[in-house]
Amino acid sequence: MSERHRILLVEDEELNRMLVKAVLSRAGVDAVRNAELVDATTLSEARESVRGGGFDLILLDLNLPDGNGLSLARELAASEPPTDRPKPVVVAVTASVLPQDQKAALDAGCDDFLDKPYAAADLVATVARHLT
Amino acid sequence: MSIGWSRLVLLAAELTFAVLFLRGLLGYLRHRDPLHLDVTLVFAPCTMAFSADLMHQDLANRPGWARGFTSVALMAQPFLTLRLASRLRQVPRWLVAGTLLGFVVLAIPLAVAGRPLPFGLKVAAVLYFFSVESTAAALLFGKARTRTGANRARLMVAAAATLAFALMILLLGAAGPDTPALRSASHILALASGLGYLIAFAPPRWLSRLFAATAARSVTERLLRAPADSPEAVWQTYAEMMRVQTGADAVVVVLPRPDGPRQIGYAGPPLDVPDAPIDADLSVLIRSGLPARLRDGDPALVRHFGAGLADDFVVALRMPVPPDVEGWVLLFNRHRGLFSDDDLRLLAELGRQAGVLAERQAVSVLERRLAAELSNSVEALTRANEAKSNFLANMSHELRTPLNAIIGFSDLMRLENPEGDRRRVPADWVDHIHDSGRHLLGLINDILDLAKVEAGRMDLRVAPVRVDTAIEELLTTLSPLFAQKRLTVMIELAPVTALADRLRLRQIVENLVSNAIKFTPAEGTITITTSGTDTDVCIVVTDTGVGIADADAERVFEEFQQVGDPERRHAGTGLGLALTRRLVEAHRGGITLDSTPGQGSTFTVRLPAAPVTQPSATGTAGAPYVLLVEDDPHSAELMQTQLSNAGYRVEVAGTGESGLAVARSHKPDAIVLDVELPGISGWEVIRRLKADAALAGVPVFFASILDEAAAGLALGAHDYFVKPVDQPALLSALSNAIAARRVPRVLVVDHDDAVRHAIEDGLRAGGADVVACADGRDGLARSRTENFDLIVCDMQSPEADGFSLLAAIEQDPSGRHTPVLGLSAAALSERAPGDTAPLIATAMAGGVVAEAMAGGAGWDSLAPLLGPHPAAQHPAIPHHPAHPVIRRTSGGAHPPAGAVQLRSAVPRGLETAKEDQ
Repeated sequence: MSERHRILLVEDEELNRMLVKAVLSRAGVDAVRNAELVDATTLSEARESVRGGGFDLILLDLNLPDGNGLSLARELAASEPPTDRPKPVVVAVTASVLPQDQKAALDAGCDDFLDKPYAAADLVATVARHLT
Repeated sequence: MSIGWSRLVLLAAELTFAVLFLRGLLGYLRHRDPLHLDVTLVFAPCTMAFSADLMHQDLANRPGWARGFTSVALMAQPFLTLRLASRLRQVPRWLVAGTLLGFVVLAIPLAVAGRPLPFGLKVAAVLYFFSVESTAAALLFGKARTRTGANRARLMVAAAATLAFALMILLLGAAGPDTPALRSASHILALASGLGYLIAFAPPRWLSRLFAATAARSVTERLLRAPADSPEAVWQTYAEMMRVQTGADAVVVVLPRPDGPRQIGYAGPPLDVPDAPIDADLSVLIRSGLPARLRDGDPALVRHFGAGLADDFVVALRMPVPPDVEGWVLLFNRHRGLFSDDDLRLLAELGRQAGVLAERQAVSVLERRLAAELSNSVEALTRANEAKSNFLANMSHELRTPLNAIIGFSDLMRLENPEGDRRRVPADWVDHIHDSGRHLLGLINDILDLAKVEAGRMDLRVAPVRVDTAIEELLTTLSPLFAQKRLTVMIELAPVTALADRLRLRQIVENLVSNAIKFTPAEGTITITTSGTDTDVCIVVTDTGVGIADADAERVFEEFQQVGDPERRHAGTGLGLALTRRLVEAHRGGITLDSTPGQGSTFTVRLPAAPVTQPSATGTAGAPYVLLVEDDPHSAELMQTQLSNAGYRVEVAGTGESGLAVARSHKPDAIVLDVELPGISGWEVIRRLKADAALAGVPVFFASILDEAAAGLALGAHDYFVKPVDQPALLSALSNAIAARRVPRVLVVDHDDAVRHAIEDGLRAGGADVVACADGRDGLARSRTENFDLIVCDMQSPEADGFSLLAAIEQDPSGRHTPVLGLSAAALSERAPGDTAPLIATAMAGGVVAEAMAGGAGWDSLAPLLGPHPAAQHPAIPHHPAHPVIRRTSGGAHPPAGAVQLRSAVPRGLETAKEDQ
């Protein structure tokens, strides 16, 4: 068995965190199902976790109680990878779905964008695409 | 030769004086202007000398009398010149008087003395002449220095001419027969003086036109160059230029305005004039075109400009202003001016230019204003558009968030393997979907309400509403939430009645209380108070929550704004307070926030109070209602006081007949009856009461001096008291009887079996007597023939819907106005536009309460209203015994002890509304 992937889930809504966990834990793709999921409910918590390092993927809600998730994406894009691991892939997961929101996300250095509401299969497919 | 040349010069000089004399004389004869007379007099002596010269070519051959006369006349000139100067400016009186005295002293010896004159006299005469003339010249010069433009030039020339005249006399005195050069020089000076006077006092037409043209050009240039940004500024510049050019002390520009002629421009020393139209007739002044003292004109002018200017000379000139307006220019002078009216008129003509400029300014001011308005509108539209875009973006975000859970969890469910026609899914997924759906519904309802208020289409059914009762009802519903966070709720509800829409009032308070619950940490305190004045009702909700910083106080009422510590953001639509404010404002009320971060917030809602009406019965609305049938006023008063003090509402009827009528119309909770009454007796009254199906159940208590208890009880009385009545016993019996009787009857009409059964079960569990009908027509029929305390009906029943039922109840001849709880899957106004809306309105006005419950609000909302268990086991608030909230004020000293849970929840408030009518 290959190394477990680590996913950082930045999301302030409890229901949505539960949903992501439920969906990923039932995914048909092994890499996704077996990935280790770490929660962060605020931007500062997420920053703290990212500083610890070791994430392959960040599922990033943009509308966070203490600021816009994009600032985290920008910081990541500007920083040097701490180790020989590659930088984590950042997927913006948000209910702000206007074209300018998407553009802002990609400009900030997000690698992908997932609209809310999403189907379970979309979430799995997105995560699988970036983990494998 | 030289003498002949010199004489010609003298003759020319004397000719100019003669011309001046004649012009002055003609001017005086034509205008009767005193100034012209003065000018005429100044030049009269010289003219006489000229005439004498013409008659006697040889000076030496002149007869003695002529020489004497000429000399005397010439000696008068200095005095006359000084007098003219005194007309143009301030000259000390003693100077004028001294000069006159000098003239008289010198004139007599000059007239009689032989020629050649004695040396002393000659020196005295020449010195007198020179000194007075040069003084006059100095005075004119001084005056000239205070003036400007052509006026100044003319005064300067006049001063110079006077000085030349003085020098001429000096030379003439010094000259002897052997000094022809001096004599010639004096002749040249005389000519120069004469020409100077001519220029100053009677300029030839071309010169005067030159003066006027220069002045006009100067005025025009100034007008065009002056930085005028309004028509008023143009007129102001014009007034100032007129003052400069005419040398007037003050210039007033007057234009006709709708309310009369008004001063538009003014130049001169500070003047205290009223800001009012000039209510004076200028026509006399204008027609004369000459300077006149202000006090000689219309007295209204003096009143307007003040008594200080009454002695001033004023010239009024017409000022044509394009296209067809005529204004006026008033020139004020402390002394007479030098300009002839022709020149002034020409300057007044310049008003035409000022008018054009002013009009141009007016147009440009208007243009600027329109441009500014346009720019403001564009800005406002842009802002509105941005706000709309933001709102849509926010709304999209807010809607997607709960939808994400709904779609996500239901998607997960679909992925579970089916077992036959079922899937086994985690129970909490279903709860998540349900909660998100409810959240979404709340959001949509809030958005719809907000849109309705914004569009001014929120139909408020405003009626007097007991705010305290409404709040108590609401708190019953919200009590599980208080219990969940172990919040203490303090209430202090004064009985106040607001003019409000009952549903919206509830929404307002619910939003505020929910907000307080949301932001108050566990075990905090929420305080709710009501208070009122004649005009306002205040609802104050205070929490001990996180509080809001002053800077954010206004933002909390904006859509989609959650303020405060972002770490502690709370769930919610972000619309509640925005909607609350709009609802309050739609009621013509106001909402304010007072908050200290960390300590809590206080929201104060002010709503208009309902006008106070004097209730016919005493006691608190909502209290049990007792009919007292008693003919003796003293007895009635005593018992009424006792019952009122015990918390009952009391209606007194003086006869059996009126007692029966009141009983039928008001359905009292109990009747206290005397036996001996005028008209029908108490026995007959109770017989008829028991015969009436609607009133048979009402407990009757006899209170009589007759000891006929057996007869009374046999007729169906609940109890019998002999006067003097044992008050505690009566009150206790009343209280027990009322409590025992109160089993509410509820009619439930709903074609949906599941829904109907659920309601039926809930109501029965609450202790109510329930009649259920599936068919709307059955329900309608039963509502007509039987008495119910409450009707619960489906507003969209296929056969006979809630609206028909409402209409039927409204038309019920017995006037029972049973409260109706309407169940609807949609807001009533959405589903019942047009004809049914007025019906609801009339039903409401009649005291029928229609509760529209959004179908999606579901059973959670209804359950606390109905109470799931028999009240006997839960006398207060069954779920939360520690809950300190519900202090029912209605029962007074003897609360209706048997009131079941249903009673203390639903029909209580509804009944209150009924009784409020």
